[in-house]
Amino acid sequence: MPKLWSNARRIDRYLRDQLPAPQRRFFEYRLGQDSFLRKQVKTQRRLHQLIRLSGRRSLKRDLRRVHHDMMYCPEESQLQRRIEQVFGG
Amino acid sequence: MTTSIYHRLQENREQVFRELYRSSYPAVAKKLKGLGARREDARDIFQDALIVLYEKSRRDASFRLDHPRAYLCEVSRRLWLRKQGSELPLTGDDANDDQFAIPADFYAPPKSDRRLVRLLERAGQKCLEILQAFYYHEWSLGEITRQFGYSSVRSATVQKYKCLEKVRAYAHQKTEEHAKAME
Repeated sequence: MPKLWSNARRIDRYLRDQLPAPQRRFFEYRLGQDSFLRKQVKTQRRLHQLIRLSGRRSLKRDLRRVHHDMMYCPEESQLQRRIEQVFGG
Repeated sequence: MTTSIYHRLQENREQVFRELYRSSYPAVAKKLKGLGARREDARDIFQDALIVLYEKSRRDASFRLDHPRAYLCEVSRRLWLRKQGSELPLTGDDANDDQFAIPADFYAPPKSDRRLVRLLERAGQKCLEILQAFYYHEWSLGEITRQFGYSSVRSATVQKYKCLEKVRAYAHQKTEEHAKAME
């Protein structure tokens, strides 16, 4: 695996709390010494956060489709009636 | 639905969501209406509660959903209060032990995040799907290998890091462009 990806993998494992304790301590020591590594970790943490946000948005789109099916599909008429009872006509 | 919600959501997410709609949506809608929500509010809040449940099950494989209706009612109530700006914050151990906890960023990603997420979504659908599978849905690399049709775990691993690098470069480029436009 090229060095770039190998480094990304190590940062990944650090951020996901998957490094064994000795490796974690060594990594944190290096973080204290290496400003470039600190910047890489910060960027990767931000990317993870953005990917999770986009995953959430994608799941929300799926749920809108499920909701539409549940509210309009004839097979779900019992559920639809119960919701009508709550909100009225 | 008493055991292993983690595995059930892993195997057939949509079917579980449909079951939860049937078992819990009327009760949640009733509760939210009592708190002043309209039909559209109840729809949005219930979907968000399902997302909170899904994310909790991804983070904690031992999470048991013994009483789905009660769980979704309480999470929905908290989401509604947060949206109204009247949620009472928990502190210390209460917050850590709270099984109904809602992620801090749930309704408040900064504007720049939302913009970058939209840009990432245009950067390459296949890459983004792989990255979401790993970082959001918490699939193993073995699962990614099978679901995305790679020949080996190693190929999937390399592809995942290529995608991460691609997204990193794209986000960096867009951030620079945005900064220049703001100058």
